[in-house]
Parts: sequence; structure tokens; C-alpha cells
Amino acid sequence: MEEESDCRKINNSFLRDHNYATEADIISTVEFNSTGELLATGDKGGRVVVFQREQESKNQPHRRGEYNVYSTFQSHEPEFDYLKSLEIEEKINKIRWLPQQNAAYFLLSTNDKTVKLWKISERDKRPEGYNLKDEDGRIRDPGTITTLRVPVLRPMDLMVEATPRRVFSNAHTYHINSISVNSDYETFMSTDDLRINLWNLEITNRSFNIVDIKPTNMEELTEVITAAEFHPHQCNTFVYSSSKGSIRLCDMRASALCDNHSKFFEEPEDPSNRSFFSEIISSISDVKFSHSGRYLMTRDYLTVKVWDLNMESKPLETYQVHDYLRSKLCSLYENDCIFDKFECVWNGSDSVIMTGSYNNFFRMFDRNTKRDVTLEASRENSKPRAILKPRKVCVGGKRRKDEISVDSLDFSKKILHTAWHPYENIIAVAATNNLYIFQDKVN
Amino acid sequence: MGGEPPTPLRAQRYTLGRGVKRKVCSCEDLVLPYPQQRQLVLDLCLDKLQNCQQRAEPSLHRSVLLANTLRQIQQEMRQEGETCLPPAPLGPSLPHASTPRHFPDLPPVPLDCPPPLTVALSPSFPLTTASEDVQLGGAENETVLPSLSAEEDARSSDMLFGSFEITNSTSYLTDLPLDDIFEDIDTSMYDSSDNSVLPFPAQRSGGGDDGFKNVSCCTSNGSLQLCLSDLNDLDHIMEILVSS
Repeated sequence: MEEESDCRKINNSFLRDHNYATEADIISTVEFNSTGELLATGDKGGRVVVFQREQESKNQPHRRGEYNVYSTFQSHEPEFDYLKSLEIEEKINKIRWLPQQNAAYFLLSTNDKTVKLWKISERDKRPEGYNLKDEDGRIRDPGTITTLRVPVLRPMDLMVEATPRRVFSNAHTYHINSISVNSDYETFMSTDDLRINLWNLEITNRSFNIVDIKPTNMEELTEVITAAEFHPHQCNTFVYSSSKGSIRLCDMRASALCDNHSKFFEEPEDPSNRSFFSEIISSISDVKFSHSGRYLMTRDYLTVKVWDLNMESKPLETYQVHDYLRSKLCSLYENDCIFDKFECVWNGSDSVIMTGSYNNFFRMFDRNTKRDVTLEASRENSKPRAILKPRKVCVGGKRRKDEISVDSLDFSKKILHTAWHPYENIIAVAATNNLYIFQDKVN
Repeated sequence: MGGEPPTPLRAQRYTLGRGVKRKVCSCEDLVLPYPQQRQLVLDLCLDKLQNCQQRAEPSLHRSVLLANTLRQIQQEMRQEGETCLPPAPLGPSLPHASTPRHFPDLPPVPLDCPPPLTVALSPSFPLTTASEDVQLGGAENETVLPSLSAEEDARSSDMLFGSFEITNSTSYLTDLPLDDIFEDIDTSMYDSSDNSVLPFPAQRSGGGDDGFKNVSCCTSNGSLQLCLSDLNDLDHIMEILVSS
């Protein structure tokens, strides 16, 4: 699958002209809104940058719909927990858009502890002609006012402002890893390592605990929740994944506290692949429903799996992302890479799935043709409108030209976060502090 | 038996820094026999668990995975009957572990059995055999000793897992019923009525209707210990004053 690249390096810091990556600029989440018009990124410094797609113009058809910065705001600030002497990171863990209901855009962003609802709205008119103050805002001396006038709205330069509308806090003792908006558009859930809470978007001082896996004795803790998501159409259904490689589907109609699952998805372990690291690599780092709601996709360290909701015993399809790492698990454990949490995404028609890997590689799997491709997000390989060349990792023996050997892979360049436009073949790939946007080739 | 030279792996371990282009290290290049592989993983596990506490962003997920791996290895080793080892708790450093603590029933160490677990570097350590004279290359490993008992596991994992809770300390005093901090202290002499305090952990009273849970965050063992030891100090002072 060939892709035209319309690559863009977004440097979130406007003050720096150097090209090095600072920690705060590392992108920690990427998400398209439901129409694909907007693309939001969150970073380690607590900032959110929203891009908007240009309207297509007839004059420049080759510049179809590029994404430009639309709004930038500081969503979360670092906090300090005085009791534990711990800093609460401002890093944005997840962003989820709400469906658009009026001219303004709404999104939820979360750090480890607090979820916030942000409203992003445009202002292109401003009132002029106040009676009691002049155009600079200074109060007029009432003695000088001789006539009464009605203020009128006059056009001004477009201004995009982001305002926090709700703050959902104090409900999580552990680190929030996921948020998911319900299809009823009235509620959403936030998930930490041990609990899932349900909120009403309008109410910030109360949430309902719907899953709690905290044992009475913390000494007995062996499993944590790693991700959760609402079903795209059934507002009573959600799933959550665990560090032991299992997925539980729950129905909120069954009981108020959904500790008993309706379905339990787990693949039995392959005894021939057993190692010290089997459990660690089976930990699920992301779970996503397909757009149709019929399938579930999970990502663990080495594979992506597609599950049929009607079959709990094993996945429908398993795709190897970077199986050549299986023999390197000890080293990856040593340098902590084995704990990296990769995300995965569906394309709009659920026919292709995509996930990231190391060395700035990302992989796409076509579920119908069973073909897969490895692509690289790097500035050297991505001149604007260049076509991305498929990459290949050579496992052993002779290395062909253009192949890269496993031992030369750069493990500090990891692609954890990617997003796919809801309808078109446009993808956003976050490579450390750089954002790449790739579009399908235009004929 | 056990005349193999010390592996150079451990010295290599500490040369990989974060932010440096990481190559897959040579950990897998040397094909180690299974017990030594397991030993290496065990050592790494203990290192990481210790460092967990000191990280700026402690992760419960990571600690649980590490603890599970550690438990799995320890169980395997126990099953293989390797009891000829000095056990020690995970926490404070033990330069001399010649007397096993808490395990008076352990058989004496046969000196020809190479202890597969790392021992602290101490010249007076009697159980170090020549083959185990491992260079730890400038590392801070003296404090890391594996624990063999379930009790030790339990206590250490409690120490680990108990510290991950985030508190909203800015509204600490207003949000939390102060009774929770002191609920373990026996004040039965003074209580005239059966005042119920919120039990810890917070009960799920019928599930859905509960408000947000923030009560569990203040009653970690650490803070309780502090409260109780302060009280003990006061008693001690009182004794001195009174008896003099």
C-alpha cells in the first residue's frame, strides 16, 4: 500500500529554534475527531495542540486538505502531592472528542488524575460601540455621554479560544490510563489501574464506580486494568483489558458494580513459547472496538489480535508486529523497552489495522488480503509528497540492501501513538516529538 | 563444580543509559544455561523493583508485572528445592546475612553448593564461594537480596503497592473524614458509644450509588507506622520523667 507523505514537523515550543527533543514536547496521544476535520495531540508538558484540515481548494488540488494548527492550550499543569512527596505528572494520557452538536468543539483530556472537558470555539466578531466604555476598555466619564447607542457586532480576525468547561477530579487513587465517551453522549468512563468510574458529562462532583478489582489485601494484587472502552453503539456495554492478557466485556444493565463480566476473552498460552517474560509480553496495552462494533482489537508487546465478540476462546486473527524481538526479550527487559505500551487503530472500514514499533517503524495489516507493510516515519525519508517506501527488518543471515538488521534498530525511537481518519486514508503518526501526517496517493 | 568464571554481563548492564541510542545489548549473545539465565532475570527484577520506589513516576502496572515475574521465578526455585540460601527481606541493606533471619528451620548451607542467588559483597560474608565472587561493576547492589518466604513477599509487596495511591493533598483535610487515619489505634477505653468509622478499604455498599472513592488513599501502612511510633516515643519520655 503506497502512501503519499505530507510530512510535517510540529515543534510545540515556539521559543526554541533548536531541533532537539525536549521531554515536554514528547507527544503522548493523538486523536482525530468524529468527522476527521480536527486532529488533537497531547504532550508530556500538558499541552494540547489541535489541527484543522484546510478546506479543499480548486486552485490547488494537490494541496488537498492539509492540517494546520488551529488551537494550542495548556490543558493540565503539574501538581504536587504533599502527602506522598510525589509529583503528579501533567502529561496528557488520552484525548477523546465528543461528537459535535453545535459550532463549538468539545474534547476530554486527561492526565494521571484529572479529566477535563475543553470547549474550543471560534470568535470572528466582536461587539463595538459600548456606551459606558470606549474601544480600549477604559471607562468613559458619564458626564461626557450625550447619546445612547446600541453596540453592534463587527467582524474581527478569527480567534480560536479554548476554555475548560468541566473538571472531573478526585475520583482516582491510581493512574488514569483510559477515557471513553459513551454512545449515549451523556456519560463517559475513566479508568485507572484498579477501578473504572462512570461520569455524567454535566456533573463533576459525583461519579459512579462500575468496576473495582482492588483486592482487600494489596499484597494479593497480581493483575491491573490496562485499558477500557465503551462499545460504539451499545451504550450499556464496555470492555476492559488486563495485564494478564485477558479482556472482559461487561453489561451495565446486569448490576451496578460490574465486577462480574458477561464475557471473558483469553487465549490459552502457547507452552512452546513460554519464558520468564511470557506474562509481561501478554499484558494488553490497548483495546479498541471496530467501528462496526462486531470486533475487538488488542495489542500486546509482540502481536495485535482481532477478536470476534462472539468467540471468547481465542482470537479470530493474530498479527505479528515484530516477532524478531522474541529472541531479544531479555535485553528488552533489561532496558525497560518490554514495558512500552503500544496503541493500535482501525481504519474507517475496519479492513486495515495499524500499530507502531521501534526505529520509528509502524505496521499496517490488511485483514482481507492478509498483506502487511512496514513503513518508517522519519524526516530523512519523508520529503513532502514523497512516497513512503516499505521497510524490512532482516532477522539473520544475509542482509539485503535497504534492509535493516535487528541489532541496528533504534529502541529509543518508538511509535506508540497513531491515529486513522474516520473515513479517509489519512493517518497521523507520533514519533517522539514529531507528528507525521500521511495521506493516500492521489492519482 | 561451579568453577566458571564470572560473567561479564553485569558490568555491561550499567553502561546503557536512557536517551542514548539503545542497541539490543549482548544479554542474548551469550547462550547461558538455564539457571544462570534465571539468575540474571531475577537480579534484574530485584533491581527494578527497588528502583521503582525511587522513580519520579512510579507505575503500579510495572510493579505488578515485576512482582509477578519475581514470584514466578522464586516459586520455580523453591520447587527445585534450592533452600540452601540465606534469605533476607527486600528492603534495608544487609551486609552480613550469615544468620538467616526469620527462618530458624532452614538447614545449614552446604559449602559445596554454589548459591545461585546473588549475595552481598562483604568481605566477611562466610558463604561466598570463589565462584560467586562476582564483580558488580560500581553498582548499588548491596541492598538487593532475594526473599524466600511468602511473608517476606507479602510484606514487601505491600510496601510496594501501598505507595501508589495519589492523594489530592490540596483538599486533603476537607475531603477526608479524619477518623480514618486513626481507626487502627485502639481507643476502646475512651469510646462510650459504638461510633462506626469508615472501614478500610472502603466498602462497596451496593455498588453504583457510591460517590467517588478517596478514602483509601491516606491509610497506607507507612503513615500509620509514623503515627504509632510517635506515640511510642512520647510514652517512653513519660516513663523517664515519671520514674525519675
